[in-house]
Amino acid sequence: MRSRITLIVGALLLAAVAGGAWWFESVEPAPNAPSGAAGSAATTATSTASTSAYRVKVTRGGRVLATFGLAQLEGIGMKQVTVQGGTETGPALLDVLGAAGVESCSTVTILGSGARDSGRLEIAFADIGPDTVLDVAKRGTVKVAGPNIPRESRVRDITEIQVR
Amino acid sequence: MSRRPDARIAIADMTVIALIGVTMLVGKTLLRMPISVSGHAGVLWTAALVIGRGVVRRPGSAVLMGAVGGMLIAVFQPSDGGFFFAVAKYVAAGAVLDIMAPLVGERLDRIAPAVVAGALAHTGKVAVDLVQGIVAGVTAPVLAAGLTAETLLHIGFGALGGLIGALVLRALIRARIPQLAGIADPEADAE
Repeated sequence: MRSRITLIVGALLLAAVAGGAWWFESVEPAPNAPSGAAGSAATTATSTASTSAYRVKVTRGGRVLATFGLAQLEGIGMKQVTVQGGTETGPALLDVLGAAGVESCSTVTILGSGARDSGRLEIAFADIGPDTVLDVAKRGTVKVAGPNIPRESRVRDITEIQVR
Repeated sequence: MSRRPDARIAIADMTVIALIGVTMLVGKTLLRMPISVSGHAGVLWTAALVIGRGVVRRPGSAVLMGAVGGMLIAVFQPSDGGFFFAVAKYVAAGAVLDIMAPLVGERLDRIAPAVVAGALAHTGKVAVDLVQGIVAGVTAPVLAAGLTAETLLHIGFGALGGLIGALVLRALIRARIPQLAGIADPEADAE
């Protein structure tokens, strides 16, 4: 009997968790990813409002070179590339580094929240091509994608780009 | 007269706990495929935890298995989220199983309890993911995006892991391994 009650409570708990996730998602709507080669002003405004706290830092030796919000990243210039069979849209990583004043370095370490992947990717500067982009995801954050980056190594919800 | 359970863990149980920890790492590594489906890698490690908790029927044993497995995963598949959260995800799943197991009469070889326990355990990992995101400063809209799908997928894959775990446990009971000697043959046992 206790076992049966436990199962019913467990099933109800699972339904409550799924319902809670749905409620949370509905009260905290994520911004839409920009369409086309460049995000429209309206999309940019929505993105900025919804994820105003989201920032990507570019650092060298612990020193912050630049900090970009989503709108600023979009403003650097959107690029659409096809990598590993998917279309990714966002600023080129080289352009983002350039906007932070980084013209050259040996290694770039990309750090993310780590909640959905390893949260860390180290790539040689020489391996970063023009098609390596910071794709603006539907969740309103950026992830790294490029021909030299295997899909399983991608870092989502990027928070920091360290250059060495 | 009720007997107090022995607080010491037998060597056989320690061996199972360590083995399950390694199996979790292997399962996690094997299923780490680039298919962009959240939670799919949890099928095998959830199954391993269910099997382990079904074999070592001691309070806290699933937490120990989760800790061992989590530490191995944190070492061999390091994430920038840090060691603590990497381990906490599997400890949370183990804790859920430790709570569930006595409530279902330690019968994780039964399909329904194992499926529900597996789903809840795997969902425990999502809860830790959320906490990790909050600690990392990820904003609410970002945390919320895709959360429903992620939760449902974790429930589904956890349930599948529980099902696999129950089926393996049934096979082990039929094979009469010493640790499961006290459990009746599931074939003869009415659900």
